[in-house]
Amino acid sequence: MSQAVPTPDLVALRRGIRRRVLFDKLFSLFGWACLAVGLLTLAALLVDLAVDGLPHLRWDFFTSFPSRKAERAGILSAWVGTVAVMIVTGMAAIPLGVAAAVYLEEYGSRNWVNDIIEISVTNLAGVPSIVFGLLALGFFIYAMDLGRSVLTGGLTLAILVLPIVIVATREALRAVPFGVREAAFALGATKWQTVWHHVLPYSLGGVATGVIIALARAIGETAPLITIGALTYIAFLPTSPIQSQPPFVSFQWTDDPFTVLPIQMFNWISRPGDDFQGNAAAAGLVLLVMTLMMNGGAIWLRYRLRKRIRW
Amino acid sequence: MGDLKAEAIGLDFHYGEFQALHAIDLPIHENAVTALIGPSGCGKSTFLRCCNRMHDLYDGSRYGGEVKLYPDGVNIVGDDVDPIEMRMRIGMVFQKPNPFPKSIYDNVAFGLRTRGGLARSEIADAVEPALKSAALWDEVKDRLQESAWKLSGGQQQRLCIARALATGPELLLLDEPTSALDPIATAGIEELILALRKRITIVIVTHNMQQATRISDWTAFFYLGRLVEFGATKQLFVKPEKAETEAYLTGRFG
Amino acid sequence: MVAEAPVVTHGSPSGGGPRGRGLSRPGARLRWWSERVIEAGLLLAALSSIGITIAILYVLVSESVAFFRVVSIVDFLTDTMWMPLFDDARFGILPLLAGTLLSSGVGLAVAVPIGLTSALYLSEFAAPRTREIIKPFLEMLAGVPTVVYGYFALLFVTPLLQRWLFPDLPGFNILSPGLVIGIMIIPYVSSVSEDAMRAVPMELREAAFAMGATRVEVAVRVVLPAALSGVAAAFALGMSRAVGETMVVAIAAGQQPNLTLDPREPAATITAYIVQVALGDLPHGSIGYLSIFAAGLTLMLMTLVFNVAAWLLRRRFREAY
Repeated sequence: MSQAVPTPDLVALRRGIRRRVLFDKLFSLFGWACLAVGLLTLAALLVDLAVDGLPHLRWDFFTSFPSRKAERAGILSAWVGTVAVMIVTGMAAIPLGVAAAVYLEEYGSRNWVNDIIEISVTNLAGVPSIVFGLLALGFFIYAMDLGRSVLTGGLTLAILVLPIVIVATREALRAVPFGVREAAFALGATKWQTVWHHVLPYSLGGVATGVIIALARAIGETAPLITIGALTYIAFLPTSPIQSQPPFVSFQWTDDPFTVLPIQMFNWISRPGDDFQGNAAAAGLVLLVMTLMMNGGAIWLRYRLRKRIRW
Repeated sequence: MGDLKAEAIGLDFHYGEFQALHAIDLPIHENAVTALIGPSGCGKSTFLRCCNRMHDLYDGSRYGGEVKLYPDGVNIVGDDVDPIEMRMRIGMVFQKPNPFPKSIYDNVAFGLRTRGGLARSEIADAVEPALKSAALWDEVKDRLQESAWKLSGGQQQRLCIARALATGPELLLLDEPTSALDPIATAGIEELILALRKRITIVIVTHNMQQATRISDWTAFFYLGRLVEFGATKQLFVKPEKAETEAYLTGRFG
Repeated sequence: MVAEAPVVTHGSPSGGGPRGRGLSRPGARLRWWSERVIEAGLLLAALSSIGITIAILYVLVSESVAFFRVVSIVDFLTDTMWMPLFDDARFGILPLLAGTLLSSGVGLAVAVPIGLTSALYLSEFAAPRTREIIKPFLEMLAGVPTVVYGYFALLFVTPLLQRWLFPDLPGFNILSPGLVIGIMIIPYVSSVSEDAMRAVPMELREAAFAMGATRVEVAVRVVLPAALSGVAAAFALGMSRAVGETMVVAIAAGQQPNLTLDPREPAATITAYIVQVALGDLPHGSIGYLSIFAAGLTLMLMTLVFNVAAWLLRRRFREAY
């Protein structure tokens, strides 16, 4: 309760403070506005796709092959192709990435080999995705003759997301306290037993988060697959992995040509006419919902893990 | 000793549910050094930070009672009092030297520039006396544009004092200013405080009782969030009135 | 047999071997070997990233060498025309470079102010709860597939610009994909900047607040300068992303190489050119086929410059704190 008369000096001081506090509030508003630009764009994107695409999202959109007639065209071969490619990507990127991370975190000592590995992982994370397409074109297709197949596509995306898996796994491994390892060693476990039975299980949540984010990224990738020439008209499905004759399972599907959702969408965008744009929006909506759900799931998982685990 | 510069009257302070200060009554004499001593966690730093409204930066802090700043008698911790104004009128120096990653000159000029409306020449005119008051001028006058982070720890702390002095504060709060420094740098800071004591009112938190006897005119002993005893330094150290004070001074706890 | 148990285990680098225990038991030797095999397998997995890096460089360089046997490097760097499909083909990278820098420039002009302000707000103004809620949404911007962004640029942003700002804007232009790229890289810029700002020690903020500074003064005059190298790293990372972005420009900027500095014109970027060639069916080993590797190498070198800059800046920042 300051009822005393302020000296003239204080009057000037207070005027200055009022001005500065006003500027502080204005900047705070500006900060909100900047955040809003990003968030509103995300909203506009969703609404735009929904308005254009929802009318096309009927059941037979998922069960039809692409067609020259827009109203009959669907994404059957595209989503099946996406699933097939993701299986290859996951089977390649997850074991390779986790193994590399385990080596770097648990085995590697600080020497020049480790430094070079770390530099290349960091470097790979920054390489534009289309360059991986060029690698696949020159290496998988022409040097190894794997063709424009599901296997080529899956491996291309696997090396693209490998750094994401490695970085996330390393972080998860680092979060396991050293005491867990010491406890296992004290019981006579070998290094690998310690890693396999103790360290990896404890870090599974973090690894899963990284894998989901990596696959979400891979699902949306278009450029590297276009580069390997995957933009073709595919009105058939890959060979079924289950056969009626022995040996009942077949890996023929990895050798088949394919298309995926983002490529199907790109195909439709580049066609003239509004009809196909509706199809593109519908495909985009499916793609967007899938990736946002995966990313959202990863964020949720990370949040849960942070709350539950308090070492 | 002369008039009161400030005065805590029934000051309470809460962090959320926890009451850190209980009904503190403490006079701060003008142009003198008041030392706050006590074991860690006793509330001496908490009290100091009340005097600058630093607690307002963190959620869940609540003040009760008053800390009056004279001559205008404004209640520093009053709800209707602007913390920014109080911080501009009261200077503070922290445990760890914390100069900004800017040049020596810009560090000292920071408070004046914050004030706004001052010409370059006015700022320049204020920097030199501030550095001189902090006994740093001779060491840095030829390298004012160098980064403050290149200075030694003791120099950095004196720079922080110069930074606080540049705006002509009515009260200078020092929160264990020598705890991160070596003995030689500590001696430098103590000398500086002794040189400043006749010109400015200083409140210093210290964990070092010898330091309190060397530099302070008044001493307040805090324990468990309460002010146990306050008095002239000589008297308090030689003939404490309370048993707790004596126990602490003789090293039986803390 | 047992007596020959490998004594070298004592020098095992991993330290997890059967040291001093059970060496004479037959199981121990097997276990020692399986541990070594597993470690070798893990090392191989880790080395794969080096292998991939080398493979990328090898493919890009070897095909580019073949390309530069036909087209001189001087022509490549100085010719102002990029016309790969004519009989009298010309391969001057400048038009593609201009398109790339123009679209990234527009993108950065959007992402730097918005990303930086967002970071300042989240780091210095927002309550922890607000930050926890907003950040995931902001990060989702980086998770949207780029082909969807391309659709958005071509069929939403361009018509919007045509209606409200530039009635004469062609359907394909650099401006609209540039703006969308900017939105897309906001999360990269803001999250790396924010990390840097939050690493600035609290003592510096307290020092400024204790002098009566307001939040914005603390943010702009203390935190931002203290985090500057980290923030600069964020810009370099954003630039690297923008330069390498493909689908948005391939869809919405047109695929005509165009040496221009006006973002309202259509133009092709390096990435869009690679897509365009891949869409056609150029025979393996033809000059057109080789040209995308030369373009890719140029792109790779550009992003490498920004990535290395970001890496150095971040290291400098970490050393400071």
